[in-house]
Amino acid sequence: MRNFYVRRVLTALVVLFIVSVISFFIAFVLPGDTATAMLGEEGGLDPERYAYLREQLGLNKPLVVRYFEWVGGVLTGDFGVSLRTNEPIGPALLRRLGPTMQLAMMAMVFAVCVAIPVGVVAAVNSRTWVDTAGTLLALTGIAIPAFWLGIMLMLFFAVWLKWLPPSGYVPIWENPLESIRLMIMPAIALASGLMGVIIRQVRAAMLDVLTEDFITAARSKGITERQVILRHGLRNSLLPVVTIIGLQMGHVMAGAAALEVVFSIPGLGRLAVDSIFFRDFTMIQAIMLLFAFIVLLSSFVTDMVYARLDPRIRYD
Amino acid sequence: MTVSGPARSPDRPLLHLDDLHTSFAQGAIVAVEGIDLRVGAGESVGLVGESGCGKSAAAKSILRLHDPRNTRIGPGRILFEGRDLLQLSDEGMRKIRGREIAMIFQDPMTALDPVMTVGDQIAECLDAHERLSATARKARILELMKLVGIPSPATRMRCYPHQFSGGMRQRIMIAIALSCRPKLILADEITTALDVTLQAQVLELIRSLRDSMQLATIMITHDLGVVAGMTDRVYVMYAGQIVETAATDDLFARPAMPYTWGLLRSAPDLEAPVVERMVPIEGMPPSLADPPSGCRFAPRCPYGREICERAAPPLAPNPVSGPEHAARCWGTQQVKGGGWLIGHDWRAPNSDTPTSGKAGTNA
Amino acid sequence: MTDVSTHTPHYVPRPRTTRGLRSPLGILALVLVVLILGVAIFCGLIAPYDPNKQDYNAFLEGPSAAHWLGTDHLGRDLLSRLMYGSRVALMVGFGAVGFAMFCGVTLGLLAGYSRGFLDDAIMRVVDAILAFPSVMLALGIMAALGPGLSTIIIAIGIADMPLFARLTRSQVLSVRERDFVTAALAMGARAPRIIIRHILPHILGPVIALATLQVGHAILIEAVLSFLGLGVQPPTASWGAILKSGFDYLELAPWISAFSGLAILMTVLGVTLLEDALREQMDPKSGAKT
Repeated sequence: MRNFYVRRVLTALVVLFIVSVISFFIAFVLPGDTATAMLGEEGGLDPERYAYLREQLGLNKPLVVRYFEWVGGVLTGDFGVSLRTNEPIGPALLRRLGPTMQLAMMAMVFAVCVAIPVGVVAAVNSRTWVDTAGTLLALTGIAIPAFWLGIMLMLFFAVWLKWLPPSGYVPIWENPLESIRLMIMPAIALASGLMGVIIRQVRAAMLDVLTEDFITAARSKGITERQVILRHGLRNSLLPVVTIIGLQMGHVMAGAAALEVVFSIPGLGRLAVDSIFFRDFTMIQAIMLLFAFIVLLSSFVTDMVYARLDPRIRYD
Repeated sequence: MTVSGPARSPDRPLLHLDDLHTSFAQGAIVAVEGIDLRVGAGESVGLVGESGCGKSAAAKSILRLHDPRNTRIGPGRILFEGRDLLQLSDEGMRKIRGREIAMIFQDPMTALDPVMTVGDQIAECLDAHERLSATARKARILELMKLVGIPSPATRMRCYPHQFSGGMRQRIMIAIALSCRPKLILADEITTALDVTLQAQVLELIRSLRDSMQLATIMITHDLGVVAGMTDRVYVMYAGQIVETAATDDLFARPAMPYTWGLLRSAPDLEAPVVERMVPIEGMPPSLADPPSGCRFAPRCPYGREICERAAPPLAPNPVSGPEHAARCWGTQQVKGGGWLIGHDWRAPNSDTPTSGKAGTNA
Repeated sequence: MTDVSTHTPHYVPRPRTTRGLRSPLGILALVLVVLILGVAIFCGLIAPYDPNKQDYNAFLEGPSAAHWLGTDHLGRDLLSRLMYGSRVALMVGFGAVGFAMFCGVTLGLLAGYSRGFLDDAIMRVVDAILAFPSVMLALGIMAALGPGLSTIIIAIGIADMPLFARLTRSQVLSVRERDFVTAALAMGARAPRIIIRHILPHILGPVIALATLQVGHAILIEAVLSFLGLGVQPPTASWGAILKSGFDYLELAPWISAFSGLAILMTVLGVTLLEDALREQMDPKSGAKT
């Protein structure tokens, strides 16, 4: 068991290193030069200012040196300065992380709350029209463009019915109710894909579990069918669902980008899109690294949680 | 066998399978075909046959444990204390399961839920049928675990199934089955998955519990060795039908028909010094989707005659023993063209080969 | 919960739907996929208008007899634009997945067959690429390469490639232990021959299923990128770009957003259903038992 943890950490570190290399160098494939981008059209005409800026930004040093300087900074929490706003990147990321996290969390809650009952009912009624409807719902969730679903929700519930505010963001600590009201539509839209994935997973796992001997044995005890399905069937089917949720965490957060644009939520995804338009390379590097880090961390945590949840793993 | 009187007769059996049929796949596969089986209160009955003969299907039918979406139970009746279980609502059936009739499953490795502590799994059956205070409930769990011989139950009850050995798990299955003091226990191949020493221990445990708790049991097994000494009466099943039934002593003393002989020869630990031990029956059981039209055992029977393939024999009393001993075999029945196996000693070599047999059957 | 427990004494077994391509969902999949392919191939013949022709008398007009799905803010016929958009979607879908499949399967074969250091190196890089959420990675690569159809294909292809590499490698590892590969090795067969003759045919099924699913995924990502203005550039008719311009006029002309999204949904749903049906077909066990 100890060995498993150590190996897991070591691989994660190697992968993290490669991730940082990719994040760093992707900015250097970008067309144009940072200094030119900062000076804009007219600044490029002034060779003296251009040379000065290059010196300031450290652009004259070899790439490898700059990579290690960057990683050194990142490790001490210094992501550098945004080329666009000139503010330190670390605090900016932290500020943008909140809305994205809130959106992703709400989406996960919606997805799980809908998907688990649907998956269970589909499996219990396997190969009937109920099951077919469940599968259709799951695949529609996977196939629907989340940002389009968001736009349609906005059209119905904000523009036409006026039940919900169309867009915007309020921090949850300032006005919790309004904050959640603003996030309902984007969160539902973001939940659709995850919901589809979880429905499929729960259904498949339940179908497997329901053929197990211990299900028949549980029925023979005289507990209700509902207890058989929830206590024995669902409990044994939930472990893979935990994995899915963990592995999807980072992807759900990234998938929020278009929704953040649609609903004017100042999150990480929108920051990424804006940074690309403004050629804010240092910011792009940091955001890419942050997303990859979130994905790696959540899958790492998932492995650990899985080991906790499954009693068979603990002692083996 | 004569049909018994009305259900309220004084010697009404605890359980009576009355012409029970169970079929799968829209009736295409008839796994149980017209079984008549009785178990008295406190009586122990064996249900013996090769795997696939329908004995497990029959046992699961009693508790209605088959997937209702592809299984049809009926026609027939399952009378438990005079009530037809097939007419009960789901809720009515639920109250029977575990409390009146409990089942012990074949493989203790797969019949326990891997993510639930064994204490909780024992408690589950209690909770379904009785209202107990937390302390009484715990005391009962500990008592049950002690009863089936699990050491230090107070700590073991918080363990998960994978932390127990196979034999210990089977003891837990037994504890679960006993938890609500049922009147009848269906023991489905409970020793098959265990090694020989454990088999003896588990059987001994069942025997002592049965005697002390006045339990009726149905021992379902492919091994006549398990039935010997464990049961009062035996039913032998083949291809969905009962082919021989007798008091256990009588069955071992005077087995009537060739299929039972085959089972006796293939039983591993018989005391009688048979020269060839463990002779498996040749051939495979017939497909239940398309059984032979005559005697179902005829294609594999070394004693078969012309009549066997022409007509299906009824289950009729064996003339050598009392009326309680019946067999489904033309060789034991005094009808035209039958009766050639009456008084035949099954240990004697078979002089009656199928070819010579058939040649001599024109009278 | 419906139907969790229904038991009436004498049972009439419930009819079961079939699975796979002949099931209702399988048929729906085939209908959708054939429809989209047909539109993409024949849109030059069946589209009522030139997708870029402006009708100065009809800006942001709702659905009518002349323009079945209405017009956009430049007076272009939405139906025709959506029909031509299917070409972009399918080009991106097939192009990106083809690219991802080629690179991924090659890397996976290499990793699975070589094992050892090369395997480790390839798989760690694959892990690293997989660590970037595909939308983010595609965004980053688009930023680096600049917008355009071919860069979109490459960006999505790179983001999808690790899935094929992983799948291929795991399949190779399981296949190479099987007897027929051992036998071929014992006969002195060389690695390329073993890979092509013995291993590739065995991994084809799962790879095709994954590819089908990823076509839908690629179309979705293209839509997101184009919606964000980082993908296919106007005036090319791309569903994501049409949706973006529709979003600007959401209150005035909601049908633009509605129909363009519907086009994406139908296409992606078609391939997703197809993948589901294909998997059922190839492995009936994965569905309901009995």
